[in-house]
Amino acid sequence: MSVLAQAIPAPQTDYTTIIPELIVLGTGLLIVLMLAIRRFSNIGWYALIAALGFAAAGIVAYVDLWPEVTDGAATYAFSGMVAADGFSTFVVILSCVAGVLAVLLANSYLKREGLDKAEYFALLLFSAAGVQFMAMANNLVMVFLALEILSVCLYVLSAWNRDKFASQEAGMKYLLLGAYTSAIMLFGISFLYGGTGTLNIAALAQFFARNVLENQGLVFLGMALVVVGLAFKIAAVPFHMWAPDVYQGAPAPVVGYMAAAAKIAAFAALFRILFLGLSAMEVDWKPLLWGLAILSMIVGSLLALVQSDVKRMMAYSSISHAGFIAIGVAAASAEGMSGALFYLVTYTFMIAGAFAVIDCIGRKDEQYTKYEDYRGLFAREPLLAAILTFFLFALAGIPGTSGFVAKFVVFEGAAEGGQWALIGIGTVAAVIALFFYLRLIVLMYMQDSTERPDLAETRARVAAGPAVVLAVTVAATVLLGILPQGLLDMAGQAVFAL
Amino acid sequence: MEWFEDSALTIATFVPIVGAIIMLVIPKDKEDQLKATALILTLISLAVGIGILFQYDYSRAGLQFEVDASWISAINARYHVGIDGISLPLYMMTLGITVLCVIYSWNHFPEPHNPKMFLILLLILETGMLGTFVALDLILFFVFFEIVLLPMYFLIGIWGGPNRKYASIKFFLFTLFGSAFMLVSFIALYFLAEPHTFDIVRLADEGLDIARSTAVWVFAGLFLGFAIKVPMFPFHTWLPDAHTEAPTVGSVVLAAVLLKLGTYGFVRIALPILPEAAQTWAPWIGLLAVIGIIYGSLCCLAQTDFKRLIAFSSVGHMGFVMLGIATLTPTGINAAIFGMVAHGIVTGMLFFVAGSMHERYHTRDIPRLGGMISSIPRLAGILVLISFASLGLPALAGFPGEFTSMLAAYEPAAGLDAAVFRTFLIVAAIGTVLTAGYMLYMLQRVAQGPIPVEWEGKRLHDVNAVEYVSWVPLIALTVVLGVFPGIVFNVTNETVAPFFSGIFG
Amino acid sequence: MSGEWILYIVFGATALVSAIGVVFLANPIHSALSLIGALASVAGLFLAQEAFFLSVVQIIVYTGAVVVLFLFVIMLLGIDSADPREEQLLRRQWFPWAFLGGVIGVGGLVLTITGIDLPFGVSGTDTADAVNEAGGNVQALSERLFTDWLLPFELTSILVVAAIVGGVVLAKRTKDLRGSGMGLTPDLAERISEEVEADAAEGELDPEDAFEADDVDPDPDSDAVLVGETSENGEG
Repeated sequence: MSVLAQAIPAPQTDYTTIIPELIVLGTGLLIVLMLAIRRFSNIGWYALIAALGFAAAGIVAYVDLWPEVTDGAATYAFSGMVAADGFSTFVVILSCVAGVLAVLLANSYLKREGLDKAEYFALLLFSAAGVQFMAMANNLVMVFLALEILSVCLYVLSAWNRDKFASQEAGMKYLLLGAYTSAIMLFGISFLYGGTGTLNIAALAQFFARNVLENQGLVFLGMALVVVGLAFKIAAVPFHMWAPDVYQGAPAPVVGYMAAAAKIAAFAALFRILFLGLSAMEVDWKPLLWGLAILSMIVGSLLALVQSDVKRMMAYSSISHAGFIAIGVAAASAEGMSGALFYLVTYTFMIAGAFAVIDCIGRKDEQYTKYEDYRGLFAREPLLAAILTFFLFALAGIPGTSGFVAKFVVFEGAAEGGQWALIGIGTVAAVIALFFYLRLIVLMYMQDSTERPDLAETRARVAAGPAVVLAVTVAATVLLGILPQGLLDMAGQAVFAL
Repeated sequence: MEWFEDSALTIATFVPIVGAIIMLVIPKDKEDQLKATALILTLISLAVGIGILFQYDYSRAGLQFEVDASWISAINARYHVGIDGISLPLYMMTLGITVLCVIYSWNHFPEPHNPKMFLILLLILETGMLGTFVALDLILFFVFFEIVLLPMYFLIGIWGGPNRKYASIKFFLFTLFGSAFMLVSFIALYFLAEPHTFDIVRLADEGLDIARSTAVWVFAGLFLGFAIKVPMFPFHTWLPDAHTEAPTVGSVVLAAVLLKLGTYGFVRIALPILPEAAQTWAPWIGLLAVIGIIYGSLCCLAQTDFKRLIAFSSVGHMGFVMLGIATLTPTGINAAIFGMVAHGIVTGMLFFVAGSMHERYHTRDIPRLGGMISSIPRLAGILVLISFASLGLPALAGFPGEFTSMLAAYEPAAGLDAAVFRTFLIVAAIGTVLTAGYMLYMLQRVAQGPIPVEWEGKRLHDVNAVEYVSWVPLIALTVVLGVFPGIVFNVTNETVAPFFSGIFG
Repeated sequence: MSGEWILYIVFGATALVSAIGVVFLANPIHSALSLIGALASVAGLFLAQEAFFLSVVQIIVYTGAVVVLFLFVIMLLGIDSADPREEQLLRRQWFPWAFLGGVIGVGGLVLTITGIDLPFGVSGTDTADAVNEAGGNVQALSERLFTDWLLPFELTSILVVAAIVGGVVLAKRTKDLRGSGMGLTPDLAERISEEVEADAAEGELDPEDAFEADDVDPDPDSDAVLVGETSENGEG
């Protein structure tokens, strides 16, 4: 009894720093609770709640936290478990935007496919919270936990269309490989702990500032394994094997969200761990990232050339985009990272928009996702074809779209560090990438679908949700392509304070 | 007229794209409204251009109508536009050619018709081209330079001939490949300049304090981007395909304006910013130029497709332009700009004629044609006149540019080996003979002789009203520029002479 | 060679061997049993580190709850136990694993409650000092868990909620898939019903009976009802 009576120190709780996350999590739990009490037959209500939750969290983060965090240094809360700074707040806002887009995309999809279970939105909210905590995590265990929250939700969402074998396969593959790499990452974290005696990322930096390790082997191994674990999440070559199958099998609205969310989270964690925690080992991790970037860009672009399924092609394209973003992180400079952040924002919009179109064209059961099904699309669905073309060009990085500015800023970050070889390879990869986007465009515009009467039978329906997503993403992609200054400033502020 | 100075270029450049947006909301079946909108907006743009022509101070060197506003400050990219003697003729030519293209396409929309999209693309194309000629910031330049690609890609790919897919992709990839490396060079220039800047004027004025070897590499990236666009031998292979497959209007714009973007890039960016590297590269550029002249002419002799023949003749003509640039002398660069304008007008016109012939004969196969003088004499007359201009007959537009360019090759800039360039001069002169040869050979087969059995008794329409309206300005200019080349030379020289003699002394 | 080292070698080796067994054994029951061995060995490793409480939790949660649940599911899915020799084999096999787990579990429990130091081990390190200062394993752990590690602790609950929600959603059957279990695809279901109908057409069996007797069916109707109910409850 005496032991029980002995007071333990009160935990340090600073809930104001994690208000957006609390809103997102709270909304998710609210949906779960509501489901337990009574199910609305129309899941639109849950979608509305989820969208409001994301919007509220995003607005709070922007209005309340953003002005605070951009003036000063980072605030650490919960005994140094999380850090609220410009960087994390930026990612939080971005994840909320991605969340709203995902909700809008999902609502009509779920109804159309008869998969309308509101748990979808709860998982979406939880996964977004995972992204947010990953960006805020100042402790390797927090990174791991947040990553797991994100991953578990994504595994389930990938397998959502469980009447479809491909979707099940996607979920299963993602789960198995994901669990495996999670273990590897955990292994790496334990090595880092063994080598430095701390799990706190800020304390890691202090450790390296005070100590010189005679033998870096243990720490290096730990760092490498952590990088491997995160590289898996961003689908960087050679840890990309899961991506094509998952992208192809998972529902299009899920992929449109997952491709961005997983990248945002993993790049945020990579940046925090490597740039803030292990900056003393820059010479060691830079080559790792270079390797990942180069391989991802080249392999992703080359393999995308030979695909015949649009979703699969987008998977390889996303691999190559991961390479481009990695260039920004590998620059190991504030410029590079703010470039990478900008890239992530533009990618979030582009990929959501592209998959919104793919979803509409796929129609029920996503039966039309083969290249063959896109034959003569322009004649049948001029507007959708035009929008998809626009996104493909944006993904390829044609000037006038946000994709160009994004590629440009990461290249600029690399140029600052004198990494001309990386830029050269990136340029070649961008040209190769253009070719596979063009292949699809050729099919849509320059061939007719006369030998496919089945395609002409039904017209693709664009529901309200995807229509809004398309409008928003097209507008954002154009706007960020022509007047990117505001967002570039924000991305700069997010990183320069560190 | 302060406001006009500040906004004229912006208005003239962006009016077409505004028109494209307006046309987006006009229903597809209201064809007359669509055509009228496109015509009116291109005319507005042209009118502003003519206003610029009147307000331009011809006695002054340097940039006018300059606007320099903040754009993307995070990367120091600015909205910096301006016009001078180098860009003014090209800018005006672009404005004019687009209007004529809109008029010509009035009832000539190739399959699959869809005038709405066709005209929208044409207007976007115009903004891209105009923007490239006035941009004074590397990033702005690059954006416009690339925007041009997309509409042209679709024009070829959708309205093109049977082999359009191959041609359009080849066109797109070739040019994009080059411009990707050009972009790397732009970024390199940015970081090599102290303080970092993308401003073309400042980069040229302040010069770069860099090693010659670095400069040579940076120039290589620029060279790749521009040379593919020109196109210079051996990067020209996309051109015959693109020209052959493109619809008439596409070919005209391609020949008249798009090819000039590359040569303009050399004159505006590559030479002024990297003069030392330019000197290193000049003999090689000259060599490729004359190879292009001879090679283009020889290929022409072997062609049976009328449009393909004109396309290869472009390779030759652009060779003369590049030879002028390679001399690095004010004379050579004046000649190059004149050559660009002349080639734009003459070859643009040739493609118009080719398009109209194709419309009448439904074939471009030269052996199947013949006897045009007897069957459709007016069209034949125009063809003969323009062909003579193209082969460089004095008193027509083709002559002054080529002649001056060869003249410049006799005495290249200090630091270049005169002997080498005189050799080029001789080779180029042989090229002119070959040019005359293939043009006359073509005329002999197409225009002269009896009407082939295939066309006997068939009624072929001669030149109609729409064609006259769109052609007369070009025909008139062909003659006027041939007789009074000073119209262009005086404008260009005022800028070129002080500028380039300052650089290459 | 210290006692800790010996324990590390022994338990490490058994952990490794049984982990390999989990992957390579053909019979799912054997795999599950092997998993018990692996988890129990890890508990032993904790023991060697004087992390008694963790060791006990490891046994109770993983061996006691998780693997038992696995076994339960495997049994529900219908392990083919027609062969009596197989059953014999099973009976003999699970015994050593259960014994190992039991010994470690009980040992850990005793050590935790009594707070006895092992005659060897890790005392003298920071962790051991902190444990002693707090007055034992449980106290030290709980103090850390509810102060510094509060946020990760709470987040773990979110992770668990997410996993449960996901699991329930995926496991719950859709209306039209009659009597199918987890992982039964429409293709497979279609094949089954086709076979059933074919059989019925041949007049061999009544379709209903045939369905239950069908070899392909991994989940007989009687059990399916049970699973269905559990998932309904789980969701509530």
